[in-house]
Amino acid sequence: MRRAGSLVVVLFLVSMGSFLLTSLLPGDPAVAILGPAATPQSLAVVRHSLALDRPIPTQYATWIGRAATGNLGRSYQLEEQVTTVLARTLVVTVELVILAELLALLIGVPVGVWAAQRANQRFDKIASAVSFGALALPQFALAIALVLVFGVRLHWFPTIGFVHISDGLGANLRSMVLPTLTLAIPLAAFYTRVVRTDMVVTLRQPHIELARAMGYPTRRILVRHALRQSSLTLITVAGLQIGALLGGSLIVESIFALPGMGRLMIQRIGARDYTVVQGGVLVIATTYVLANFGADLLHSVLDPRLRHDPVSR
Amino acid sequence: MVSAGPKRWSGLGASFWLAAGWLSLLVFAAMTASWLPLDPNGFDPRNGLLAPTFRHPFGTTKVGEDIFAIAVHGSRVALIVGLCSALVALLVGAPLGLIAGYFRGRVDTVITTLLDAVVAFPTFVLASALVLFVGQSVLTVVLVVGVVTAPLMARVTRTATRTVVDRDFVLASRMAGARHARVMWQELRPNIVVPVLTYAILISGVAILAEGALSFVGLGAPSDKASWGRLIAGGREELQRAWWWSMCPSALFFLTILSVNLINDRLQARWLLGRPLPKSKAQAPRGVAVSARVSAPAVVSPEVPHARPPSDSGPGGDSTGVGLGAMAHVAAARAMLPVGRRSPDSGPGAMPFPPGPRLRIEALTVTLTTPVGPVRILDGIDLSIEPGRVLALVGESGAGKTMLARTILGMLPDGTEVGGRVLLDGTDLAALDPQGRRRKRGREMAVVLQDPQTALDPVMAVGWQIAEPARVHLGLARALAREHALALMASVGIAEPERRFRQYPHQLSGGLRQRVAIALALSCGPQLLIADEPTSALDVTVQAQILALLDRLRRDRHMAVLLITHDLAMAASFADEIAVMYSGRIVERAAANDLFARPKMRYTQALLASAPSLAAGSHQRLLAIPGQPPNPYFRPSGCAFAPRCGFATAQCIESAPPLVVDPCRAGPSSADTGGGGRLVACWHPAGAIDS
Ligand code: SF4
Repeated sequence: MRRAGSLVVVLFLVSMGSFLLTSLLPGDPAVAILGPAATPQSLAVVRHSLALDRPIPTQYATWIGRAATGNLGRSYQLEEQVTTVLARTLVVTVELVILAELLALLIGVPVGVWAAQRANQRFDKIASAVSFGALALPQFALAIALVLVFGVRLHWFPTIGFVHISDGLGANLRSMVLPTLTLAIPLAAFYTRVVRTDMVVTLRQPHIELARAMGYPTRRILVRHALRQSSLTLITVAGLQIGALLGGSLIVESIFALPGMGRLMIQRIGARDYTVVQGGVLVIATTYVLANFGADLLHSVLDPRLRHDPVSR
Repeated sequence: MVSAGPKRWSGLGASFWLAAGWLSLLVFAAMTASWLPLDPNGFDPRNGLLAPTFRHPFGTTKVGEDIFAIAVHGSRVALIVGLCSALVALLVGAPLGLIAGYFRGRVDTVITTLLDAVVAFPTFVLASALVLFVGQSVLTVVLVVGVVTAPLMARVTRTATRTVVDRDFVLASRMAGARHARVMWQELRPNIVVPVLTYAILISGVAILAEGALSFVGLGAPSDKASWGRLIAGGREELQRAWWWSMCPSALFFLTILSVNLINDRLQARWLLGRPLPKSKAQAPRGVAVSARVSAPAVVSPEVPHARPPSDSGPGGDSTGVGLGAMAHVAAARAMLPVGRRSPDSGPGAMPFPPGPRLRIEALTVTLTTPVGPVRILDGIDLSIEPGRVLALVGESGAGKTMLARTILGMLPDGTEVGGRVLLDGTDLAALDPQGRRRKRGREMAVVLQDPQTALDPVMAVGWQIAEPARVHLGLARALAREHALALMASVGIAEPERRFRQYPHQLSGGLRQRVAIALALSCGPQLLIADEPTSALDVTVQAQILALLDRLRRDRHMAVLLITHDLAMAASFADEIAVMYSGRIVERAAANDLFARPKMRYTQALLASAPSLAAGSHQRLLAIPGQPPNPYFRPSGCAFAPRCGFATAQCIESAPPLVVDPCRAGPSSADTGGGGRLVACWHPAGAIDS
């Protein structure tokens, strides 16, 4: 399979990029560990112990070899395995991304379907205008506006802080409401437009016309025939968004003080804690690539036109 | 300058100009900021956190800086980043995409793979890395956004390139030996410039947003530069006391991004409209093609509704014996069908169905409501079909055949006025509510459409499609519906139904697909089958098979068939009776063989002459009918065919000929319509001259 081949190449490039991006950065991890007052000798010892005195290709080979076995090294400063740190923060980010995707799909798909069914009527026009506006909302501004309205003014939801699932699902979800909304509102608008555009085309196809002529109920036609076909487009688009959300949840995490991946990245870059950054970038970029690949794969599995050979008599 | 051609800039809509106005205002603000009496740095702690007033339209910060002044100065950073990033994307991304799309193959793979890897990196890590490398500046922001957006631009350019790279002019240029660079610049660039530029506009919006986000987390514009993102970040701490601090710049962001998106959207819509339409005729679904045609602008012709002859509405009585006489004339056409095609029709009384016509249409008039006023699509249609018999509706496209089918099915657009009656087994369909009509569709009347490739759901197994009507209308359980579908498949001559059941339309041949479509239509045992050009998308040999199948089914099931076709010879070979339609009216109606042998109305004659002559064994078009069928908006007041008719006289142009019993052949046996009655709407029918 050619696509699988190019996937391997992309993953290799991504891993190399993750490594180089951070290891070539100015700033010496040894200094970061020992502080500016350290003697050259002790710095050299630390560098040697971290294998920072070896050539870059060797360093990369060691790193990627270990990464393949699930070992991303130790954090310079956190006294913890990188994988442990990443796993802890990833849980938060993944919860955020899943909630946002779900909410966005839950809003975007029905609104898009109904707007397509009512193309150019009032509901469609309102939905179109609202989604167009929502797409122009900057994430950070939206987050702050939500905090202002629902947190500061109405006191409905906590504005900062995160309650871990283990401390109660209800409290956890309450602390996730505003961050989820921030990500989901523009995304829902996006899905609305994607679904609407695709459905309008699908609804014009003769097989929908036939379904109407055969007297199927409208809801059945929309869900069983039109949406079923349009959802194929949606899968690809939603897959792209998972990757984008994972890398882009940083703003939301920092505004709402969620202990997620994005915030971790910014903190660790500031602290020159490069092993954590390398691992994090590797995880985010790999997830992005895999999510897209997975969506493509799912699409080709679900679409019978791609699944089978044409015309077998 | 707007004056560069009113046509080019017209019709973009008020929203476009509002958006353009807002962006112009920003440009103006950015350029004149230094000369305006606005000091972004002047602070005065005594005036901290002032709410918006006339003096401070956006209020003040904690240390008393004027937020409006900072915002005006901040528009510089926003615009510079927006413009420069779009430029970077254009200069780096577009050429890469062009090269990838043009050369394809290995070059394409390498470029695409590289770009895929680049977009996978999280923007903020990239930004932080660059800030550490080259320091914090506006230039860094441009670089970051450029790196992130160039791959997107490359993708768009690549897609646009691939749609034109195989066109004739590009190939011709390559064949003529032009250098690659020359082909790309001279042939490809003009054809992709619009999508690429509109995307660049979108990217400038993305860049402005990204700058805001980066500044918000402290990675964007340096702290000595006024920036909207930094303003918002600053105001975040004082949300409780000073909402304006972050909300006013947020609104600026919103308006700016909205404007950019709007301009992109309008330009793109404009560009799509301006492009020559794709081969829409072949691709457009039938229903849409019809409605598109009738929605052209015009007026209804001031027609005097003509009186129908009294014989027209008489009950169809003598339904036997038709199709037995004058067979010789259509023998050649019938050769299309296999042996034993037509058994003598059994009278209605012989079958356990209620007597009387299955479908009866009386004085049907359909008027569409369009933006330019009402348009009469069907005018005084009368016809009836007995059980087990076939009525063919013949005419050019646009004559109203499909509209008639939609009227019977009750699938007319909202606001359509319907006069007259449509009776299915004696029930007036117009008297039913939409739900009642929907329940009749599929159960009591069903359709077979022209192209089975598009008429079947591409992503649903064909077996389940056949089972669906029975599940919907008869409430059959899954397993039962499956058995039912398998039996139906066998009955329409599909071999190995078990295997075919699970297949999808694209896995079947055209003939098989049409058999599936027929099985689907028969699922609930309808009494009326409307076959809309059921064979015209198929090969000639397959056509004959499908016709034979339909013929067998209507006899076995005693089903009335309304066959819609433009092919008079096919109609003559298959139908019992033919009604010729022209411009929303029936202009001639007679027993199939009679009409085929001796067309009376001048239009029928022309239609027959233009059809491929099966009798002569040739499939060439003999004569095309000159001219075009009339636009329903500008229908002539007299005979609608007069402008194209060689026999037209002043009388034809002045008044429309009524559909009456053919005077030359009027006799006791032809007086009723359901049988051998022969009706002609022509002032100068053929018989009058011939005999
Ligand atoms: S009525 Fe006149 S114009 Fe119309 S078909 Fe007959 S001869 Fe021709």
